[in-house]
Amino acid sequence: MDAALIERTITDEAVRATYMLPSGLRRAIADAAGKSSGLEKKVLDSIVRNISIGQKCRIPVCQDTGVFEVWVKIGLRKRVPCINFSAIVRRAVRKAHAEGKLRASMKKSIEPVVHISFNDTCFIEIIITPRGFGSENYSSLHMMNPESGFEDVKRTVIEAVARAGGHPCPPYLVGVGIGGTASKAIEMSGEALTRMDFRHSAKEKELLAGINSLKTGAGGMGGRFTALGVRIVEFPQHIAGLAVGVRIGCWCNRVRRFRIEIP
Amino acid sequence: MKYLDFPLKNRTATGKLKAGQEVMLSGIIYTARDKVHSLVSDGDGEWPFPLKDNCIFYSGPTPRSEGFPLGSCGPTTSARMDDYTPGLYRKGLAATIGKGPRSEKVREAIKHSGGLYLVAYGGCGALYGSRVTGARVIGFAGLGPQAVYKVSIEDFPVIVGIDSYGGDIFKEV
Repeated sequence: MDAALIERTITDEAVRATYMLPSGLRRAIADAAGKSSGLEKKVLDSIVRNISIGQKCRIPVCQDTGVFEVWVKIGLRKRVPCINFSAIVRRAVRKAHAEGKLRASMKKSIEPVVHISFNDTCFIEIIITPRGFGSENYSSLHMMNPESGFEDVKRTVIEAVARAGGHPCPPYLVGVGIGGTASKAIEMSGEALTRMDFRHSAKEKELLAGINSLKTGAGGMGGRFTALGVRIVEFPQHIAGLAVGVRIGCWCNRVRRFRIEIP
Repeated sequence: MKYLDFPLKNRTATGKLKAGQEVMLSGIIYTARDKVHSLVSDGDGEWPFPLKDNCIFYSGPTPRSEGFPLGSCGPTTSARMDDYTPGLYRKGLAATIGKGPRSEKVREAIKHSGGLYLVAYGGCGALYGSRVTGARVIGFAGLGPQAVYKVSIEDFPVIVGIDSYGGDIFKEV
């Protein structure tokens, strides 16, 4: 296992994340464009055109190339060489900014947010998500009553999306983390955005319908598509409280996910 | 389709536009976002272009690349500039381009000055970048993506967010 090769791969994938959206997301946006009308259709058609220009010309689809949040999940079933992953990711993300002509969106210096965890597999999984701040500004944490049911959680999440209104870029993808501690709930809500596959569970479907009843619409000027997807990730809760993290993702929910086999 | 050309020498043109209409822009516009607004407001700098008849585009572009003189350059959230904006319209600013709703004070200032607030498609940096024909930094060069760029645009699609009568597309949501 070659540290330089891993760094090269992360650099290339970080650049690619900014101009190549996940295929499921591209399909969901195109679907919504086909089902919408009026101003909302103009917004969605423009987004479709924008995505194809970005992909063709390899230019960031959105100028806010954000703060890079990177998950490194290291399998321990095989022997992993001694590699400083935090340092590798930092160097790779900085290189990606120079090589990919990404915007220096952070004050002082470019610093990725890195989550490292270990599991029982024989590969290293890396997930790269540039997080733009139009939507990130509306992410929130809610410490709720321990006896709150799903109806209460639903109301809280819908209120959080309502607060975002049309300020970020709807249609949104909404990540929800339920349970654990304050930091766990927020972390799960962020990870939920990296697992947006548009196969909604019954609860997620219900939440999505509730969010879309806000009628904020794509572009925030009214319409059917306030959100395209919702993902809930859960963890056991404390008997005295329920932590709920809500992460708002704009339509431009950039995610690259890949594996490196451990030889 | 409606068209507007900046700088807006003929101010009566704004009166012909209603909130919700699509407009194709061309001419010269200027980028400025959080930092420049804050510096000018604190007296730590001056607008490097005349406000009168001109248009501010709330955008912080990526570095330029082949065929994209202003890189990827979509709009940023306008509301963060709300506190600074009414005074600029009073000084003759014709329009601002950004995304999302504006405050009541901004709406009133637009109504009194006969200006416009134009909404660009959020997140569409590549699309808008492809409609820029030229760009150069004319002020606050040290701010990187937050510098003021003088930008030449062609077929730059926007929607009228607030019209010169105070009609507001976001109010109806």
